[in-house]
Amino acid sequence: MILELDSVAKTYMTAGREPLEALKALSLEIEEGSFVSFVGPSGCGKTTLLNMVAGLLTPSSGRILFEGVPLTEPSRDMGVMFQRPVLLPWRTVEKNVLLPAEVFGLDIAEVRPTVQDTLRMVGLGDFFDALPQHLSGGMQQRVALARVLAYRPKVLLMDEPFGALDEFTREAMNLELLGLVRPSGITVLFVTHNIQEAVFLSDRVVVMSPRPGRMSGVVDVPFPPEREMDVMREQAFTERVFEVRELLQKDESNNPDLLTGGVT
Amino acid sequence: MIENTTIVETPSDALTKGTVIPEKPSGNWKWRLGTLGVALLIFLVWEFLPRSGLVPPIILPPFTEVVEALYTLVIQDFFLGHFWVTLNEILWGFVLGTTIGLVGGISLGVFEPLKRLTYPFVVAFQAIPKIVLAPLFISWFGYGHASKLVMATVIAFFPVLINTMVGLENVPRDTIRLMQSLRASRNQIFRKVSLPSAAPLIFAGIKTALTFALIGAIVGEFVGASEGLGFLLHTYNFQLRIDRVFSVIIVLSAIGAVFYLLLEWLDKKLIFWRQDGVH
Repeated sequence: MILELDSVAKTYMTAGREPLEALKALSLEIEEGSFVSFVGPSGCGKTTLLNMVAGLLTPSSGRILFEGVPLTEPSRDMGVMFQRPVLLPWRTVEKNVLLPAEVFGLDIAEVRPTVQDTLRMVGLGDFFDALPQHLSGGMQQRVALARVLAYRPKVLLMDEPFGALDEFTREAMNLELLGLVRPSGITVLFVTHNIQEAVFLSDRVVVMSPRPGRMSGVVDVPFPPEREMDVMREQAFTERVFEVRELLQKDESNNPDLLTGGVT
Repeated sequence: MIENTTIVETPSDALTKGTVIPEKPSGNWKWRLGTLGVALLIFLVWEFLPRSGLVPPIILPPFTEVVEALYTLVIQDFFLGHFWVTLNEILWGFVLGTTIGLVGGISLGVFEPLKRLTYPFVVAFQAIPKIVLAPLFISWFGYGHASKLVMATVIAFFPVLINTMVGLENVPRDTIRLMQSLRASRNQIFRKVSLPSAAPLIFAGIKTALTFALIGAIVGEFVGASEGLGFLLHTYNFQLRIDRVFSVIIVLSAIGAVFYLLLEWLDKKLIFWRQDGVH
């Protein structure tokens, strides 16, 4: 197991307010090289969970083991991708991808060939010297992907990375992501609120529910790691999507707040 | 003139296709010609009004007379002395003000406790119309250069300080989180992310500082001085040599314009990624 989540919970304490339970104790083991999606509506704690694995947030209780060692701070063996590309607008595409190398204190001349290869791999071979503002949203997110992949992380953490893209670009990016990530054996934790996307990409889909954020079930997906769009036509695919949906709905019926639109 | 606007292409098409946007079409020469025309019109009216007797020349001398007065003023031996005095005050006031503003703004932006402690005073100081300090500075620092320099500095540092502080406060949160996920040090975050992302705002403050330094130097000279362009202007005003007053105003405007264009050019070079329209 590359990652073990052991009763990880997060409660936000704000002075003068009720404590907010963002995530109820959640336990999960993640196998090396697997692709795990976390799907659920907003407020289900999926981003909180991802940020804890990234070491950007500390769990209120429980612990996270990364390769058997408790995680206390961000690890350079993990790469994080956010919803926005988060590029530095004054840096060219190549310099943006070199940013982690500078932070890590690596020899830039040594890293540059790898960085350029990675950029070519994500289809940005002609854009080394372009500024981010001259790229489309999809291309900017490719730069962000290259910035992570160039440093060969063991774990890739993605927080709705393609959520801001249009449907067509997103599908293309998902296919490309599989092609890039699965053969290399990187473990991926992928947060999304799109059920189809979660099932299409993952080996396992962790279904989560809001208020308080918690895990309501796990759905295993029986397809090979590298897939094409046609798996969406298969009955097994439709069944998994339905299963995920059922898990979400079952939880809603237990939670009258959600059925009435939520009392906040 | 409407057809001119259709020439400008929208970049949105290029954006969605993911191609590099071609360079912005350069300024339309027709518009530039139009601007020149408007300037010409202003000069014509300026010339015509006093000559026709509608406005007494003592209030507004004709344009050509002002140009003549400007020429005769500029070739005087004493002029260059006054010119350098004021230029010096402006430049040093600007440099000192910008330096103090940068150091102060960075300190306040980086050390949260310091900001909490001093921010009320910063706001209070901002509320003072700083020109009222000029007489005080004259009595503290004398009739010479020092008081003008202090005046220019005190007015100039403020926009730099505020803009630096605000710029450092408003670094996008996810960029900071990205750096944290890389385990970047505070120092690295500051150098590689915070400072450059505050740079557009800081530079806007620096541009304002230059204008303010000019105002500070002139106001200082108005209140009490024995040399400088402000002193000259004041003196000519007393002597009712209005054509000379206008000449000095033109010289001062030219100084301001040249500096401003210089900084504008520098801004485009340094902050080449600017697209938020902060100026």
